[in-house]
Amino acid sequence: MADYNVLGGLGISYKKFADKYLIGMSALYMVVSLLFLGAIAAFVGIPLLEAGFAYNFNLGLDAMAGIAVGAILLGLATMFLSMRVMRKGMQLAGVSVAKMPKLIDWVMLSIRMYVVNISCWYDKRLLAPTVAAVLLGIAAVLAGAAGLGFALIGVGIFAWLLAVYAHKLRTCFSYYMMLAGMGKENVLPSKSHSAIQGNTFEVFLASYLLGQVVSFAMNIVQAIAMLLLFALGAIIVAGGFGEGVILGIVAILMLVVVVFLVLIEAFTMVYMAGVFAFFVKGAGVRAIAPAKKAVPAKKKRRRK
Amino acid sequence: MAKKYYDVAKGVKFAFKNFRDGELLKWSAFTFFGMVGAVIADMVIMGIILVSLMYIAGQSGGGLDDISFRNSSSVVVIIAAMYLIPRLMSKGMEVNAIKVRQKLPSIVEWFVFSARKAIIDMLCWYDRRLLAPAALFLALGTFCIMLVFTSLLVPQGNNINGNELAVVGGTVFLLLGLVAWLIGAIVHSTRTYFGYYMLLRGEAQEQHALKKSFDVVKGQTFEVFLAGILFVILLLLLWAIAGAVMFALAFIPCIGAIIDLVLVVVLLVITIAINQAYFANVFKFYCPQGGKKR
Repeated sequence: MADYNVLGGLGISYKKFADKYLIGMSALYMVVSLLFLGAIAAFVGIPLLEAGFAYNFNLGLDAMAGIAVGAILLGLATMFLSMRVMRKGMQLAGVSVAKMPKLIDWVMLSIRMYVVNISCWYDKRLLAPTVAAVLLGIAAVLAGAAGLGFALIGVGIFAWLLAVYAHKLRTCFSYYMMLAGMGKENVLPSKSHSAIQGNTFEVFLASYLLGQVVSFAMNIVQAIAMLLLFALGAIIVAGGFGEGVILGIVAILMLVVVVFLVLIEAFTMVYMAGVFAFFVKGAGVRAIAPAKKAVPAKKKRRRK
Repeated sequence: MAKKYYDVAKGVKFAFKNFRDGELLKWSAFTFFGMVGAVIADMVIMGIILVSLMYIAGQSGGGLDDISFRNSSSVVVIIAAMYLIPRLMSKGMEVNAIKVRQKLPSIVEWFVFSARKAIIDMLCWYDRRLLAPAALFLALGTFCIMLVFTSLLVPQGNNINGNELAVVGGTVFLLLGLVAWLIGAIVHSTRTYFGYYMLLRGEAQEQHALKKSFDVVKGQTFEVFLAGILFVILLLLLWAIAGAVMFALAFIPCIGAIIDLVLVVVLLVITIAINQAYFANVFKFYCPQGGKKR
């Protein structure tokens, strides 16, 4: 068991994430992935709304096909960008990278990961609680206790989601492995899994603590932003400006939030690359500076 | 490992003799008033946001705003705590002649450490056997509840009221499971508690301090717990005496209540100081020089 030095990682990310390419790519990635989600939602949602609520969008088959093609293209674009974002994060964290992988390999890896993860393929014991709960549930339903049965099946689904989450944590380093050139696409998920197994909780802790710190920082920003918003709002109301001004300010604050999200994305990329290098032995780390060295650099930035 | 019993009486005497340290008292007062101030500031921020919401939007919040201001307001309290506690604790250590590291942990470091400790303690991570009783009770409780559901199907001749028995049993078992889990978490947090001191002494990095503390205390958890609980009981006794005095003072017209108020604040600050002096001493006893494993 090895515990990741969260502070050291944060220090390195803080020092390194302000990179034009990384932030630009992160922004692009965020926009494209949102569009991708939108396209998926439209493709699934429109027929559902039409069938379920007798909504009529008057979209023919052609339009739906167009949305489908658009969604696929956007999905490919997301992968194209995520590859670059992650790779840049690795470089900034001092992890050595190989040549940029082919897009088709990345797509294959993503699909493979999806199937492998939802079936918890490399550690099927993760599914044991689910199986037990579902079997008990079925037995209960058959015995006639439908309420209990469905409750148990619900518990089973929850257990399954947890298992998938754990499995995903273990295999998610295969993306980094591909970028580091540590093997062919088809062996990477298994390789990542065996590298992390036994350290799953530690990896979880490293990413969870990052999340805590980030949300803590976001809360500070949020508190300031809200106070500002209300102060401005009060001034506007007192001065009798129209709603348009308020909406404008809200729009600006929204923009600030989006910018923060992009920065957090870039920050996370550098941080997680460091986590990868820490937990996967032989990942070819060039130099991960210890935490103490990151501190003075942080101060220098502030003085500017 | 030979058990070590901490001499509580001696420790209390020591704490009472040494809490009158200017620095320690200063930081105890800072902590007390700082936390009170942070809570008030927190409420003021919440108030401003709430009033503004009502004023601007003509409604009393709700939705996203509501959630986000609740989130963001507690930030003040967290920052205050993360700033004050390491300073206070380190003063308590200095009274005990324990060397504190040059640069105190930053707010972020203390925050990360607290978050890590909370998760690890809740999961009883370093000694999962602590969760066994809770798991057992949970299983028994679930079993009882299931019995209820299945027996609902069986046509009941009204002779035995097994259902109610099973409901009571299930509830009791589940509650016992909850209690067992809490006890497990408390035991675990007792073992990892010295991590704070180790971090302040600078003998362990943030990510190793918990495990180190756990390894040192394991095997003498009860002794550490005893040192803590005896002290707390003693303090409570003293507070009861102080309470009786204050009750008597309250009968003095006009100024009685004011004297009491001042007295309560002074006593609270002193209690914080004594606490710190005492527990740092307990730490010193169990983890002497460098905290090497014995």
